[in-house]
Amino acid sequence: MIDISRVQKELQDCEKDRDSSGIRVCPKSDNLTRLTGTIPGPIGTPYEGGTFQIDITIPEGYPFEPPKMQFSTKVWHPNISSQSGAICLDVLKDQWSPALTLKTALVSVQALLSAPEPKDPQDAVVAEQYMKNYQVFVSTARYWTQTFAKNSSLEDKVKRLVEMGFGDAQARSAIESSGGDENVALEKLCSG
Amino acid sequence: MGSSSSLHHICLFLFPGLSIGEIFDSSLPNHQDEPSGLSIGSIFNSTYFLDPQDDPQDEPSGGLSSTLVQKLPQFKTSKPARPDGSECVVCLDGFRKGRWCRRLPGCGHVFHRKCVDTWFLRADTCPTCRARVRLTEEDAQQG
Repeated sequence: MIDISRVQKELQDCEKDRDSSGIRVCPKSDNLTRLTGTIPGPIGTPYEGGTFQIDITIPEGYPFEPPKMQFSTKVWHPNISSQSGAICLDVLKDQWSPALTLKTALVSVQALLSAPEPKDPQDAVVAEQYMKNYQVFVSTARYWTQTFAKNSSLEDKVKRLVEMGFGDAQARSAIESSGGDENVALEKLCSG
Repeated sequence: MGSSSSLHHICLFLFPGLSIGEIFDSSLPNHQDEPSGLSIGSIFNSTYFLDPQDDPQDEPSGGLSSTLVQKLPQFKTSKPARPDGSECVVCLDGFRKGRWCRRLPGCGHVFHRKCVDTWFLRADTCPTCRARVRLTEEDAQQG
Protein backbone atom coordinates (compact mmCIF):
# COMPACT_ATOMS: atom_id res chain seq x y z
CA MET A 1 0.00 0.00 0.00
CA ILE A 2 1.43 3.36 -0.98
CA ASP A 3 1.37 5.95 1.77
CA ILE A 4 -0.65 8.52 -0.16
CA SER A 5 -0.82 10.99 2.72
CA ARG A 6 2.97 11.11 2.85
CA VAL A 7 3.18 11.80 -0.89
CA GLN A 8 0.60 14.59 -0.47
CA LYS A 9 2.63 16.15 2.35
CA GLU A 10 5.76 15.93 0.24
CA LEU A 11 4.04 17.74 -2.61
CA GLN A 12 2.91 20.51 -0.26
CA ASP A 13 6.40 20.88 1.24
CA CYS A 14 8.00 20.96 -2.17
CA GLU A 15 5.55 23.61 -3.34
CA LYS A 16 6.42 25.86 -0.36
CA ASP A 17 10.00 26.49 -1.41
CA ARG A 18 9.83 25.89 -5.11
CA ASP A 19 10.83 29.45 -5.87
CA SER A 20 14.06 29.16 -3.90
CA SER A 21 14.93 25.55 -4.81
CA GLY A 22 13.72 25.65 -8.41
CA ILE A 23 12.62 22.04 -7.86
CA ARG A 24 9.04 21.09 -8.62
CA VAL A 25 7.00 17.94 -8.36
CA CYS A 26 3.63 17.78 -10.12
CA PRO A 27 1.19 14.88 -10.12
CA LYS A 28 0.60 13.19 -13.45
CA SER A 29 -2.12 10.85 -12.27
CA ASP A 30 -4.91 11.32 -9.74
CA ASN A 31 -3.72 8.50 -7.51
CA LEU A 32 -0.30 10.16 -7.11
CA THR A 33 1.65 7.13 -8.32
CA ARG A 34 3.00 8.96 -11.34
CA LEU A 35 4.53 12.39 -11.04
CA THR A 36 6.78 14.73 -12.96
CA GLY A 37 9.81 16.27 -11.27
CA THR A 38 11.52 19.35 -12.66
CA ILE A 39 15.06 20.45 -11.84
CA PRO A 40 17.04 23.39 -13.16
CA GLY A 41 20.47 22.58 -14.60
CA PRO A 42 23.15 23.58 -12.07
CA ILE A 43 24.93 26.86 -12.69
CA GLY A 44 28.50 26.52 -13.92
CA THR A 45 27.85 23.18 -15.62
CA PRO A 46 27.03 22.35 -19.25
CA TYR A 47 23.44 21.89 -18.04
CA GLU A 48 23.08 25.52 -16.93
CA GLY A 49 20.04 27.24 -18.39
CA GLY A 50 18.23 23.97 -19.03
CA THR A 51 15.13 22.69 -17.27
CA PHE A 52 15.08 18.92 -16.93
CA GLN A 53 11.97 16.82 -16.47
CA ILE A 54 12.05 13.53 -14.64
CA ASP A 55 9.34 10.88 -14.73
CA ILE A 56 8.65 9.61 -11.24
CA THR A 57 6.80 6.42 -10.39
CA ILE A 58 5.93 5.72 -6.77
CA PRO A 59 6.24 1.98 -6.07
CA GLU A 60 3.83 0.05 -3.85
CA GLY A 61 6.34 -0.09 -1.01
CA TYR A 62 7.07 3.66 -0.90
CA PRO A 63 8.61 5.16 1.27
CA PHE A 64 10.33 1.90 2.17
CA GLU A 65 11.34 1.44 -1.46
CA PRO A 66 12.90 4.25 -3.50
CA PRO A 67 10.83 6.13 -6.06
CA LYS A 68 11.62 5.18 -9.64
CA MET A 69 13.07 8.14 -11.52
CA GLN A 70 14.03 8.50 -15.15
CA PHE A 71 14.83 11.59 -17.19
CA SER A 72 12.20 12.35 -19.81
CA THR A 73 14.32 15.26 -21.05
CA LYS A 74 17.25 14.01 -23.09
CA VAL A 75 20.53 14.61 -21.29
CA TRP A 76 24.20 13.93 -22.08
CA HIS A 77 25.80 12.73 -18.84
CA PRO A 78 27.96 9.71 -17.90
CA ASN A 79 25.51 8.49 -15.25
CA ILE A 80 22.32 8.99 -17.25
CA SER A 81 21.40 6.89 -20.27
CA SER A 82 21.37 9.09 -23.36
CA GLN A 83 18.84 6.65 -24.82
CA SER A 84 16.37 5.92 -22.04
CA GLY A 85 17.03 8.55 -19.37
CA ALA A 86 17.76 5.84 -16.77
CA ILE A 87 19.72 7.24 -13.82
CA CYS A 88 22.59 5.51 -12.03
CA LEU A 89 22.43 6.95 -8.53
CA ASP A 90 22.93 5.09 -5.25
CA VAL A 91 20.18 6.86 -3.30
CA LEU A 92 17.67 5.66 -5.90
CA LYS A 93 18.92 2.11 -5.34
CA ASP A 94 20.57 0.51 -2.32
CA GLN A 95 21.29 3.76 -0.46
CA TRP A 96 17.63 4.78 -0.28
CA SER A 97 16.22 5.53 3.16
CA PRO A 98 12.63 6.39 4.09
CA ALA A 99 13.96 9.63 5.59
CA LEU A 100 14.64 10.78 2.04
CA THR A 101 11.88 12.38 -0.01
CA LEU A 102 11.08 13.01 -3.64
CA LYS A 103 12.58 16.46 -3.22
CA THR A 104 15.81 15.29 -1.58
CA ALA A 105 16.12 12.59 -4.25
CA LEU A 106 15.71 15.26 -6.95
CA VAL A 107 18.34 17.39 -5.18
CA SER A 108 20.66 14.37 -5.39
CA VAL A 109 19.92 14.00 -9.09
CA GLN A 110 20.71 17.69 -9.52
CA ALA A 111 23.98 17.19 -7.61
CA LEU A 112 24.76 14.29 -9.94
CA LEU A 113 24.51 16.72 -12.87
CA SER A 114 27.19 18.85 -11.16
CA ALA A 115 29.43 15.92 -10.25
CA PRO A 116 29.46 13.11 -12.82
CA GLU A 117 31.03 9.82 -11.80
CA PRO A 118 32.38 8.42 -15.07
CA LYS A 119 33.93 5.42 -13.31
CA ASP A 120 30.47 4.14 -12.41
CA PRO A 121 28.72 4.95 -15.66
CA GLN A 122 25.19 4.40 -16.88
CA ASP A 123 26.10 5.40 -20.41
CA ALA A 124 29.47 3.95 -21.42
CA VAL A 125 29.80 6.08 -24.56
CA VAL A 126 29.30 9.33 -22.66
CA ALA A 127 31.59 8.19 -19.85
CA GLU A 128 34.38 7.34 -22.27
CA GLN A 129 34.04 10.71 -23.95
CA TYR A 130 34.07 12.43 -20.54
CA MET A 131 37.34 10.73 -19.60
CA LYS A 132 39.15 10.82 -22.94
CA ASN A 133 37.93 14.02 -24.52
CA TYR A 134 36.49 16.29 -21.86
CA GLN A 135 36.10 19.37 -24.06
CA VAL A 136 34.04 17.45 -26.60
CA PHE A 137 31.94 16.08 -23.74
CA VAL A 138 31.27 19.61 -22.47
CA SER A 139 30.22 20.89 -25.88
CA THR A 140 27.98 17.87 -26.53
CA ALA A 141 26.33 18.18 -23.12
CA ARG A 142 25.83 21.91 -23.69
CA TYR A 143 24.40 21.31 -27.14
CA TRP A 144 21.94 18.74 -25.76
CA THR A 145 20.92 21.20 -23.05
CA GLN A 146 20.29 23.91 -25.64
CA THR A 147 18.40 21.52 -27.90
CA PHE A 148 16.31 19.50 -25.47
CA ALA A 149 16.17 21.28 -22.11
CA LYS A 150 15.49 24.89 -22.97
CA ASN A 151 12.17 26.08 -21.69
CA SER A 152 9.99 27.64 -24.24
CA SER A 153 8.33 30.73 -22.83
CA LEU A 154 4.75 30.82 -21.61
CA GLU A 155 3.85 32.86 -24.66
CA ASP A 156 5.29 30.20 -27.01
CA LYS A 157 3.27 27.51 -25.28
CA VAL A 158 0.06 29.58 -25.36
CA LYS A 159 0.65 30.31 -29.03
CA ARG A 160 1.00 26.62 -29.89
CA LEU A 161 -2.21 25.70 -28.04
CA VAL A 162 -4.09 28.60 -29.66
CA GLU A 163 -2.91 27.31 -33.05
CA MET A 164 -4.51 23.99 -32.14
CA GLY A 165 -7.81 25.80 -31.76
CA PHE A 166 -8.08 26.53 -28.02
CA GLY A 167 -8.95 29.98 -26.69
CA ASP A 168 -6.11 32.21 -25.45
CA ALA A 169 -7.40 32.55 -21.85
CA GLN A 170 -8.33 28.87 -21.70
CA ALA A 171 -4.86 27.81 -22.93
CA ARG A 172 -3.09 30.19 -20.53
CA SER A 173 -5.01 28.94 -17.49
CA ALA A 174 -4.46 25.28 -18.48
CA ILE A 175 -0.68 25.83 -18.74
CA GLU A 176 -0.56 27.66 -15.45
CA SER A 177 -2.55 24.97 -13.65
CA SER A 178 -0.27 22.28 -15.13
CA GLY A 179 2.90 23.74 -13.68
CA GLY A 180 3.98 24.89 -17.13
CA ASP A 181 3.83 21.43 -18.66
CA GLU A 182 2.46 21.90 -22.14
CA ASN A 183 1.53 18.24 -22.59
CA VAL A 184 -0.38 18.05 -19.32
CA ALA A 185 -2.15 21.30 -20.28
CA LEU A 186 -3.13 19.79 -23.61
CA GLU A 187 -4.50 16.67 -21.90
CA LYS A 188 -6.54 18.87 -19.56
CA LEU A 189 -7.93 20.91 -22.43
CA CYS A 190 -8.82 17.78 -24.40
CA SER A 191 -10.51 16.07 -21.46
CA GLY A 192 -12.61 19.20 -21.14
CA MET B 1 20.91 -19.74 -25.02
CA GLY B 2 20.90 -21.33 -21.60
CA SER B 3 21.63 -18.06 -19.86
CA SER B 4 19.05 -16.20 -21.85
CA SER B 5 16.35 -18.69 -20.99
CA SER B 6 17.14 -18.50 -17.29
CA LEU B 7 17.16 -14.73 -17.68
CA HIS B 8 13.70 -15.01 -19.15
CA HIS B 9 12.60 -17.08 -16.20
CA ILE B 10 14.01 -14.57 -13.72
CA CYS B 11 12.40 -11.66 -15.52
CA LEU B 12 9.03 -13.34 -15.58
CA PHE B 13 9.35 -13.78 -11.85
CA LEU B 14 10.50 -10.26 -11.14
CA PHE B 15 8.27 -8.48 -13.58
CA PRO B 16 5.11 -10.53 -14.03
CA GLY B 17 2.92 -9.08 -16.72
CA LEU B 18 5.76 -7.47 -18.63
CA SER B 19 7.27 -8.88 -21.77
CA ILE B 20 11.04 -9.29 -21.96
CA GLY B 21 11.07 -6.43 -24.43
CA GLU B 22 9.34 -4.09 -21.99
CA ILE B 23 11.67 -5.04 -19.18
CA PHE B 24 14.72 -4.39 -21.27
CA ASP B 25 13.31 -1.24 -22.80
CA SER B 26 13.11 0.24 -19.37
CA SER B 27 16.13 -1.21 -17.63
CA LEU B 28 18.65 -2.31 -20.24
CA PRO B 29 17.96 0.07 -23.05
CA ASN B 30 20.90 -0.60 -25.31
CA HIS B 31 24.24 -2.22 -25.58
CA GLN B 32 26.15 0.86 -24.72
CA ASP B 33 24.72 0.72 -21.23
CA GLU B 34 25.92 -2.79 -20.58
CA PRO B 35 29.45 -2.09 -19.37
CA SER B 36 27.98 0.09 -16.67
CA GLY B 37 27.39 -2.93 -14.51
CA LEU B 38 23.66 -2.71 -15.04
CA SER B 39 23.44 -6.46 -15.06
CA ILE B 40 20.90 -8.93 -13.82
CA GLY B 41 22.60 -8.40 -10.46
CA SER B 42 21.63 -4.76 -10.45
CA ILE B 43 18.07 -5.63 -11.35
CA PHE B 44 18.08 -7.80 -8.26
CA ASN B 45 19.62 -5.02 -6.21
CA SER B 46 16.84 -2.69 -7.16
CA THR B 47 14.32 -5.07 -5.71
CA TYR B 48 14.39 -6.38 -2.19
CA PHE B 49 14.02 -10.06 -2.70
CA LEU B 50 15.87 -12.78 -4.46
CA ASP B 51 14.35 -16.08 -3.60
CA PRO B 52 10.87 -16.94 -4.81
CA GLN B 53 10.39 -18.73 -1.48
CA ASP B 54 10.70 -15.46 0.42
CA ASP B 55 7.74 -13.26 0.96
CA PRO B 56 9.09 -9.78 0.20
CA GLN B 57 6.94 -8.28 2.93
CA ASP B 58 8.35 -10.54 5.63
CA GLU B 59 12.03 -11.30 5.30
CA PRO B 60 13.75 -9.31 2.58
CA SER B 61 17.52 -9.46 2.48
CA GLY B 62 19.36 -7.01 4.71
CA GLY B 63 16.60 -6.55 7.28
CA LEU B 64 16.11 -7.74 10.84
CA SER B 65 13.84 -10.56 11.88
CA SER B 66 10.54 -9.47 13.37
CA THR B 67 11.61 -11.09 16.68
CA LEU B 68 14.66 -8.82 16.86
CA VAL B 69 12.68 -5.75 15.83
CA GLN B 70 10.26 -6.32 18.68
CA LYS B 71 13.15 -6.29 21.15
CA LEU B 72 14.05 -2.67 20.34
CA PRO B 73 13.20 -0.22 23.13
CA GLN B 74 9.84 1.47 22.77
CA PHE B 75 7.78 4.10 24.55
CA LYS B 76 4.36 5.65 24.30
CA THR B 77 4.17 9.41 23.97
CA SER B 78 2.43 10.88 27.00
CA LYS B 79 2.43 14.38 25.54
CA PRO B 80 3.60 15.66 22.20
CA ALA B 81 7.15 14.34 22.46
CA ARG B 82 8.71 17.08 20.42
CA PRO B 83 7.63 20.55 21.44
CA ASP B 84 9.34 21.89 18.33
CA GLY B 85 6.64 20.17 16.32
CA SER B 86 9.05 17.82 14.57
CA GLU B 87 7.69 14.77 12.89
CA CYS B 88 8.43 11.15 12.19
CA VAL B 89 10.60 11.29 9.07
CA VAL B 90 9.11 8.07 7.76
CA CYS B 91 5.46 9.13 7.57
CA LEU B 92 5.99 12.92 7.95
CA ASP B 93 3.27 12.89 10.63
CA GLY B 94 3.69 14.43 14.10
CA PHE B 95 4.30 12.59 17.39
CA ARG B 96 0.81 12.86 18.79
CA LYS B 97 -0.10 11.74 22.32
CA GLY B 98 -0.51 8.01 22.81
CA ARG B 99 1.49 6.84 19.80
CA TRP B 100 4.00 4.04 20.23
CA CYS B 101 7.50 5.17 19.27
CA ARG B 102 11.04 3.83 19.28
CA ARG B 103 14.18 5.77 20.23
CA LEU B 104 17.09 3.92 18.69
CA PRO B 105 19.92 2.96 21.07
CA GLY B 106 23.12 4.81 20.15
CA CYS B 107 21.98 7.46 17.71
CA GLY B 108 18.81 8.35 19.62
CA HIS B 109 16.66 9.05 16.58
CA VAL B 110 12.95 8.69 17.24
CA PHE B 111 10.30 7.26 14.92
CA HIS B 112 6.80 5.92 15.17
CA ARG B 113 7.11 2.23 16.05
CA LYS B 114 4.91 1.14 13.17
CA CYS B 115 6.93 3.18 10.68
CA VAL B 116 10.42 2.16 11.75
CA ASP B 117 9.50 -1.51 12.28
CA THR B 118 8.43 -1.78 8.65
CA TRP B 119 11.78 -0.35 7.59
CA PHE B 120 13.79 -2.68 9.84
CA LEU B 121 12.27 -5.70 8.14
CA ARG B 122 14.05 -4.44 5.01
CA ALA B 123 17.24 -2.85 6.33
CA ASP B 124 19.23 -2.73 9.57
CA THR B 125 20.20 0.94 9.53
CA CYS B 126 18.71 4.09 11.09
CA PRO B 127 16.61 5.89 8.45
CA THR B 128 18.07 9.23 9.52
CA CYS B 129 21.81 8.60 10.06
CA ARG B 130 22.30 5.11 8.57
CA ALA B 131 23.97 3.87 11.77
CA ARG B 132 23.69 0.11 12.09
CA VAL B 133 20.88 -0.55 14.54
CA ARG B 134 21.75 -1.89 18.03
CA LEU B 135 19.32 -3.58 20.34
CA THR B 136 20.41 -1.83 23.54
CA GLU B 137 22.41 1.21 24.68
CA GLU B 138 25.12 -1.20 25.95
CA ASP B 139 25.47 -2.74 22.49
CA ALA B 140 25.67 0.72 21.00
CA GLN B 141 28.44 1.79 23.41
CA GLN B 142 30.45 -1.31 22.67
CA GLY B 143 30.20 -0.41 19.00
